[in-house]
Amino acid sequence: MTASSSRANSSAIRPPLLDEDFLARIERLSLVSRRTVSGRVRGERRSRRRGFSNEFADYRDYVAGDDLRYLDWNIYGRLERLFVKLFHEEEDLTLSILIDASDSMAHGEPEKLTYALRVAAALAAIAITSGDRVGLFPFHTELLPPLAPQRGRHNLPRILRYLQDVPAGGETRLEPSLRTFSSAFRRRGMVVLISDLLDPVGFDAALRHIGGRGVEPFVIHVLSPDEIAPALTGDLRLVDCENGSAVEISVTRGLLSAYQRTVDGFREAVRQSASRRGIVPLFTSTAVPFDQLVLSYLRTRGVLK
Amino acid sequence: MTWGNWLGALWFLPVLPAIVVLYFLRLKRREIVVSSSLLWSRVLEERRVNSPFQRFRNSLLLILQLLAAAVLIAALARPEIASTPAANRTHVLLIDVSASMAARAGDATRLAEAKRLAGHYIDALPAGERGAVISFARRAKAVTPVTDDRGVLARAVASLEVIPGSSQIDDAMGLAQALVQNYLALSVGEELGVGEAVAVVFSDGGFPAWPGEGFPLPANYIQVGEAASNSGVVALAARLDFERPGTLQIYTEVRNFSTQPAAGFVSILQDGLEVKAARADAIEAGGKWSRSFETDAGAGLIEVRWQPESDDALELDNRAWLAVGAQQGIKVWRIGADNFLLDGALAVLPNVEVTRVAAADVAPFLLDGRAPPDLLVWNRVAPAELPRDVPQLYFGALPPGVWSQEAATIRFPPIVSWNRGHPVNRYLTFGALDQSIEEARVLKPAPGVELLLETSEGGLIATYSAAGQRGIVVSFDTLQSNWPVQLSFPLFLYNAVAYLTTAEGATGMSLRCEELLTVRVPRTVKTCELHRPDGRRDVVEPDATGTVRYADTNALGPYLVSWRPAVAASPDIADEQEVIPVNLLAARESDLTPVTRLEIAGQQISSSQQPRPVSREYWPWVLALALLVVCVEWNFYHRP
Repeated sequence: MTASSSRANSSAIRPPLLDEDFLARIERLSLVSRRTVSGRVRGERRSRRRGFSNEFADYRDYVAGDDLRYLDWNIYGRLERLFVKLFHEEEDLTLSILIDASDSMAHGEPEKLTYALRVAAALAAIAITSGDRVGLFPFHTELLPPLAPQRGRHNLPRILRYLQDVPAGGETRLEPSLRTFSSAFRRRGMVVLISDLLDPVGFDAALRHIGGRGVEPFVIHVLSPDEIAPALTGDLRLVDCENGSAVEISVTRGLLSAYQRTVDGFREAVRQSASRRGIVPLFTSTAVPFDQLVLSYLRTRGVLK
Repeated sequence: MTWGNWLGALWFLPVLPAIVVLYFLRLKRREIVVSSSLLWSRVLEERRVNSPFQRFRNSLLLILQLLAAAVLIAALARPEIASTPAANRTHVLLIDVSASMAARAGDATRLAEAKRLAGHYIDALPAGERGAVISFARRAKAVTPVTDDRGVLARAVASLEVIPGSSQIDDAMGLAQALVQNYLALSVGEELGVGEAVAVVFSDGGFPAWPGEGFPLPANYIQVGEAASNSGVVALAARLDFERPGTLQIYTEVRNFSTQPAAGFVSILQDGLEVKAARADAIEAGGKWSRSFETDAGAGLIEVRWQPESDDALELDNRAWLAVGAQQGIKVWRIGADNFLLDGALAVLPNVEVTRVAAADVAPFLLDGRAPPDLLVWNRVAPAELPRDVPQLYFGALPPGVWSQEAATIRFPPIVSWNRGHPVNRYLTFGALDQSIEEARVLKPAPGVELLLETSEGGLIATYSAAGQRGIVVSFDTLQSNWPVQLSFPLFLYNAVAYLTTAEGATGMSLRCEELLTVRVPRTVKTCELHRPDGRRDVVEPDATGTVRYADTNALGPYLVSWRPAVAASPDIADEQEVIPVNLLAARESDLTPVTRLEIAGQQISSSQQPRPVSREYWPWVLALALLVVCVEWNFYHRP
């Protein structure tokens, strides 16, 4: 398969990313935020901002104009002073999903980009149905025109349609793309990066752009089975689909073993780099059914509940 | 390890660099588009595969191909391993005991030297290996079977003695093949191949080349003896001069096999007494001296002695003997009807004594044990029972038991053909008999019958031979034809008498060593005494036909066979006797020049004082290794 043919495949009309059955199964799921986050509207998330909800946070002195319903009459009986109970205000969550749409993601069997888009669609659907905001940020060489954070179930078709039309192409350039996202679009909430991280420049510098204060970052590292354990024989010339560079190899058992060690080392580097920046790394293969990833693996890892 | 054809293999050495060149030329890599070459680049960076040496190291296929080609070239070079010390071999020691081995070699003889070398060979046999000993001269004899008992082999070698005859390797090689094959057949469960047996010839090489046949038994040659001066008698013949009764003509030839001229005396002895002598002066190197002697001593035992004046390494060829029988006429009995033309023709035959005998007297005379006549000539009469052991000539009658007495007759038969190659028909033509025979019996072909003269219906003259009976039949009465007045008739009688009787008594006779000695004695004789020239006496018994056979003629000189006539068992009657000498008379044995290269089974085998290691070729194993390497290469090539 050549680079052009793979691009042609990726630009072909994709099948629906989610079906009705899957949407029904994720109805009761929601994103788990381990941090208090702030949102623009009162939502279902606990916010640092004190507000009024069911979860007690603190007291403050009553001032004229406060809602009398939140006066703590018990304290008034003991201290004869008026205090108003403060609760964690539940706010909506902003889920920013960064999707690597480079040429390398258009490879693999199943195709990594399709896999990434379906995962993104699932996460977005879960977020939307939970009342959270969802922003989509595809990129390859640079950040592509994003879908600004959307809220409300009525926006789910729009989100899915946007994902359906994400084009593949270009080289992977993580650092400039994520830097642009960080500076222009980053908001408090969850940031999920879905990528194979196969950037010749490296991924370590790029990951720092998705962490930071008020953000709960995740990176879902996607590889295809033929990248994890390639079934290659003979004397080969491997051409990079993104930049056309080639390497010549004579496949031997030793070479395959060395490659396996390199893949393991690459994943370990991802784990260490992510951990260093407070990013939760999640590793998957396109051989793992995406619904299994969403319904089982992400719940196990505490991303969903 | 040595190489049988390393020069030939050199031609194939360029194959190795050619494979390397072809490898890089053919290395057309399959192109595959991958998502990223990032990880592969890191792998290659780690392994540093970009250097050519690393490519060699990793290219197992190329290495295997080079290895397979190298091994194939090695197989073409025919690797050999000298396998003298190889275990599980069978060594057949062929030791020449012919006359030439009696030649002096230093203080001993060539045979002693051969025995010493064979002893060393046996001592040096590796543990677990076997041997067998065969002695050979004219005939071969297995002295031991195949055995691993060194003592048996050594004792067998020590017991060998010279047999003063010529030598031939044919029987010895055949016997060695048989010994090895028998051993192979009996060695059930042992892996013993052809290459594990070897024939080792200890000889001076004085025998003809052997073309080789049957079992391919490799041979080594250990030459015995050095060049030595020798001269000896190589030819001796004698005959009685019929024109001068009592005169004996003796021809003898002495040959000088030395590199220097030789001289000496030749003596002719008759019954132990010297009757003639001559000096042979200056026989040049490789030359011969021959002389005819005449004596008037008549029959007797003739001995020729050569007394060289120069060095002579072999004494066995300095004497030769001949037994010359008494000049006796051929005794012919004429039986049957008168025929003056036949009698007249018989009477003029030289050295023939004709006696008329009545038909009824023949059988009793032959049965009483007296010496039989040399020939019975029957005319128009035949005996009821065919007399044995006496040749017979029939005219106008048929011998009993050969043809039916009621054989068809034919009148004035045409002459169709006659056997011109038969000795009886020598110098004869039968054309004058065509349709000139009034009546004849037709002789049908039968086993043992050879037709000499044929008409359209069958034979008119034939020879027959069956169970001790032999004779010639003329199926018509000569008086009923014009044959007696033809020149062919007396010639036919002369030829027939010469054919049916032997002339042995008229000329000297002798045997060669190990030839069968046969003497005809009266059938009434039960035992004979045989006096050998080495002084030993043997008692031999004639067979039913009165023939004495003695095969153990392994000494040179006169063998005397004596017997006592049964009918005259009186002490006054002297024993009858016959002398048959055994001679060497072999130029090849007298020539003591050692042969350095034998030709056995088409191969030139050089002499060696040491046991020549037998090269075993290992190219089949090397070829198998090459195939194994190719299989491994194939396996790697197709491994997923």
